[in-house]
Amino acid sequence: MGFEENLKKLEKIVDELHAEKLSLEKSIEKFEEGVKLGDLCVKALDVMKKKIEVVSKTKDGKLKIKPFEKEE
Amino acid sequence: MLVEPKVRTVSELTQDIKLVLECAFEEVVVEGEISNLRKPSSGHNYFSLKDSTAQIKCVLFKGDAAKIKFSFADGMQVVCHGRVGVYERDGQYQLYVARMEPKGQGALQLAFMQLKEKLAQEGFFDESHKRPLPFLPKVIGVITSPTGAVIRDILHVLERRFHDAHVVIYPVRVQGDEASGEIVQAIEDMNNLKEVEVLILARGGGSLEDLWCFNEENVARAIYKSDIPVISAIGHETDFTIADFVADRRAPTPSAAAEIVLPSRQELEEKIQHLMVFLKRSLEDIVPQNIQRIDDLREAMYHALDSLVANSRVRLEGLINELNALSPLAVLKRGYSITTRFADNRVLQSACELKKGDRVKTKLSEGTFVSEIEEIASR
Repeated sequence: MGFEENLKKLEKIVDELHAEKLSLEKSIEKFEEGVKLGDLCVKALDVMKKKIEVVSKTKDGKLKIKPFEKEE
Repeated sequence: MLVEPKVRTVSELTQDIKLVLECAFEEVVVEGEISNLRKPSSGHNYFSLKDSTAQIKCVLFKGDAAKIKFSFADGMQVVCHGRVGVYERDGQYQLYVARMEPKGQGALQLAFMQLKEKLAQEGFFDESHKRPLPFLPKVIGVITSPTGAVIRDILHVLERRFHDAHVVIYPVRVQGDEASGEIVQAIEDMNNLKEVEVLILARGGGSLEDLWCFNEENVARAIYKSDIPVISAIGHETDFTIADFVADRRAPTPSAAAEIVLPSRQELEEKIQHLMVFLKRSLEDIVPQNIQRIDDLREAMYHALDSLVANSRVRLEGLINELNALSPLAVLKRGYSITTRFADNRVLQSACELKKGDRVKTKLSEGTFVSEIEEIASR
């Protein structure tokens, strides 16, 4: 599940809970789901790893990826 | 004495004319209208330039033709740069065109307009073809020059917005004749790389000529064909290239492209935090509300029970009064008494039930007494 979908779901749950039309059981269920989604979102942000790479081509036309050296 | 005129061969004469003409018209600029244009499969172009009273045959060789960015046709007013030469076989002088420009406007402007119109007709700029950008792309592909301010600016902004971004740079030339081919190749190669979810095609500012590769048809087609959405970031805010029109999103500058491609991590974190606060608050609202409802119900229940009890009590008292009124003891109060046979406590209704010597018990309103039968007065 993508970060964006999770975030949208979380927004929807908050809206639903604020509308106060759900039963208590359903509200608690939704709340728990919301907490999980929030955790997932926060974790998703941490999963990304900083990497800057550069593509080059070998003589036989194959793509090669190596770290990018910043010119000073 | 008459000198015999020198007799020359046709070839010799032609050679002489050629020499004279080609020396005199080594470099000419001539304007006129294109007519009778032919483009045989050789790739060379043949046409005439004419005005109201004259015309000259023109040749435009394949190599020179390739450098002309706009397309030309009969009836178009053009300015040709070239030299006059003689085609010996046909005894014909003609203009060898090296460069051609449309009259009244720059060649590149015209080429730009022509390509824009052509691609518009093919639907290249349609909104319906624009792909949405991913919200949080796993890998961001950047096609640009590996040196200079552009890549530095992009990396800098990405770093600021989301320090963990994963970027793959595809170095290309962004100026000159080779540039468009390299850009096309880069777009195709990037489409074959795993996890690249969005492309930024970037170049810093420059003249129309400098930016020209982004107005080339092959680049436009490569962007259109790309499965990965493309953000164009070419030149300054005021520069518009064909690539900008085809791209799924145009960024006014390379830095702006970096802003578009990634959300700010800080903003995202704040957003999530806000949502979590809202979430908790909503439950905090809901639970007390439910508790209050329970309390209200309980109170109502007690209230109902209380009145039920009170009603019952009233009814009970009524019943007790009624019962009292009906009680035989009440009769005694009026002076009557109840007599029972002592032996079996049977209530006596007839004197026949008794005989002399029996003992009876008489209950009065207050107290009882026992007596012995002396005589049965009547039956």
